[in-house]
Amino acid sequence: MNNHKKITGLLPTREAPAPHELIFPLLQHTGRPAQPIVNVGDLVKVGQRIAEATGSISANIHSSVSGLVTAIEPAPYSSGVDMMSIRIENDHKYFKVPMATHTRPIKETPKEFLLKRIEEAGIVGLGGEMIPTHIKLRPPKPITELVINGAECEPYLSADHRVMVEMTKAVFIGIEVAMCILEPQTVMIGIEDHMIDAMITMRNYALKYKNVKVIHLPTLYPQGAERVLVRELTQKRIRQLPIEANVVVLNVSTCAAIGQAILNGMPLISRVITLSGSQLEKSYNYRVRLGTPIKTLLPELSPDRAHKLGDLRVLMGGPMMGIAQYSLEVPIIKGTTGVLVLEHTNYEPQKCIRCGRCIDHCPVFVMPIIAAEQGIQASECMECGLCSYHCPSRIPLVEKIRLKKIEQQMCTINP
Amino acid sequence: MRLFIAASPHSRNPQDVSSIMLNVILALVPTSLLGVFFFGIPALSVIITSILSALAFEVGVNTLRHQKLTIFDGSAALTGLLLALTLPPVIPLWMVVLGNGFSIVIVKHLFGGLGHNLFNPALSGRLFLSVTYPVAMSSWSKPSALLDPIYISSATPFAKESTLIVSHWQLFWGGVGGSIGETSAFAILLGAIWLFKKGILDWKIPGSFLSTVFLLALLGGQDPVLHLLAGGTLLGAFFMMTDYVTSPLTKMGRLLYGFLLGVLVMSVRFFSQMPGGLAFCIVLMNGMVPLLDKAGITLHLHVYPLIFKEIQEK
Ligand code: SF4
Ligand code: SF4
Repeated sequence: MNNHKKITGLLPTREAPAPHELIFPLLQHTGRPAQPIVNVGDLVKVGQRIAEATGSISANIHSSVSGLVTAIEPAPYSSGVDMMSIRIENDHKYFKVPMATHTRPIKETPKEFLLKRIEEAGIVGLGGEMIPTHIKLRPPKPITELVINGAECEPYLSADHRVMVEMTKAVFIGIEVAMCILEPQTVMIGIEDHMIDAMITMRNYALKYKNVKVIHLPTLYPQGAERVLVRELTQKRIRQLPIEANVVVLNVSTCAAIGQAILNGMPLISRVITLSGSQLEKSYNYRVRLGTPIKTLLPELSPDRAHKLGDLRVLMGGPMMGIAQYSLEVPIIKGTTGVLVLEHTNYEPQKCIRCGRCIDHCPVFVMPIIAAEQGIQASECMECGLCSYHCPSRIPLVEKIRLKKIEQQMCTINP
Repeated sequence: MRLFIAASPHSRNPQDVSSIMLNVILALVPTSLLGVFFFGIPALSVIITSILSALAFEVGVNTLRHQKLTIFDGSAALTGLLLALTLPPVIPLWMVVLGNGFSIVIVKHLFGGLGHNLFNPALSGRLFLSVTYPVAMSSWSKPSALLDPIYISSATPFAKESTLIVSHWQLFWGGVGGSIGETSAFAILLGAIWLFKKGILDWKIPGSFLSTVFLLALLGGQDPVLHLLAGGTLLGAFFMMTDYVTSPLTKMGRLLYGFLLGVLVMSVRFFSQMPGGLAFCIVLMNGMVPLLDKAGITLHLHVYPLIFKEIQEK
């Protein structure tokens, strides 16, 4: 598999163009949607909280610009259905709310204070899984290993790579905070071996810490999937969540966000994404304000220039697990790792020729064709997409397994 | 510009069914060329007739079944080529056509077409011919006189004990009597290495089969190298048993399949003198595949994770 990392891997991060209108979906995390705390017509500032966590699993949302709240209504959303969102008109003045900096050494800071800050900053897993970080940092049992995910295995994406190179300090502050809260015995940072510069920078920085190890991993999709990563680094096999094996996994970008939240009091209002794909002339690593609609980032797809382009798939996330978008209005949210523009190919499924490749390639020992047909092990599938990728008959295995999972969940809810 | 939505993943491995079939055909080119080199024009005409008639039957069945034409997926051409390689070079051409008809129409399409056939079409066609026309099927010709006549035997090395006068080298390079495709171990290995490189050939079936054959020959006090090189063992191991459709799906199933085939083939070789016993064994084992699939699934769920740590994509 060509990982296309060379396109953007070494490009420094740039500031993305700022849009005139931003869209903040109320669900940018797993769990319950946040509750808006602003009204239409309110003026907001950069970093102001505009929606508040509700229920036990949820996260706050902050404005990334200053301006006027124009509407609270359903708007395009990356999962494919419209989502209740707050629209804010940018006044391009970027007035900030005051942010509290932090100068005390992390080790001497009380845990609860750190957790509170992380919770207030609305930090969620930035690798795409979007679990609120304060939930992850309050595990139900003691933690032995903290795994930091710098593998970034999806083709094309290089956002985490740039974060490790350019924001090393913030990443390590974040790791230190997580260490302080979780008190693990060892910390392992897994980095795929194509990011040589990231590896060197991280190794050098890690020398300051005892028991933090930077481990290089072969460049293999899906090295960055939690279960594969944990198995590679700790030799522990997990079926669903790392916590089963007393492990917590944090993404490097999440660590950087934690670092910034603690040091500068900066809530999560921007993130690094990769803008790439075979159909774009120029690729970038961008630091974008959350809420930016993707059309702002894709001038090449604007109506006056788009007639040259054929059929496209615009993806949020990587080509293996990303979601194809139906509209260019869709905003960047906390879990967006990249925006890719690829050409659309229609694959005609044929009959299974029983080649067994799907089984050979499944990283978590599922038998995809059996799971798709009979549902055996379907719940263990992590939807990495390798089986569909390799199937010579072009059978949409992941799609079928997803349906089986839904079927099974329905059966367990109403037997 | 149009935006499309579809489920992930959004890119695919360029290797699809037809490119796999094409690669297998390519991998058989050295074997076929050497066959033609040793047996001359008759071999060439058998190969060409076989491929063309297989394609013709495929088109015919497609038309009758109101299907899209499936000749471009390459599987029919491959069946034709494989069948030709198992035939003696001097066989009448109408028999070749008949064999292909059996392979394509009955064994492949009556069972549901590519992906659903229980038995290997090429081998079943060959067995059909050897049951129906035993004489024509065992009239092995001498390879062309280009070669040193001392080494040439006119029967396959297993036909009778007394004719075992060929050297290992000759078995390896080719020039032994037999069907078109089984003369040269070298050419077959060349093709197998190519397929292995392309990720099309999985090591499990040939690996477990050949090592079982080797060990059993050793235990039985016979020459293990001879058993590996002669009698179409390699052609069977790399190109017939590994046919995707008629071999087990799971990894454990494949290991088991290779092992059981090894045992079966060696018991045929020890206790009977049937020429072409390998083809019988493979087709027999094909019938066991649904059972092996069941066993394979159970083993995969419970045993496999204990034995193998991780095998990931390169
Ligand atoms: S079944 Fe397919 S999508 Fe699921 S984990 Fe295995 S390879 Fe990935
Ligand atoms: S990869 Fe596709 S064709 Fe091969 S066994 Fe799996 S589902 Fe069947």
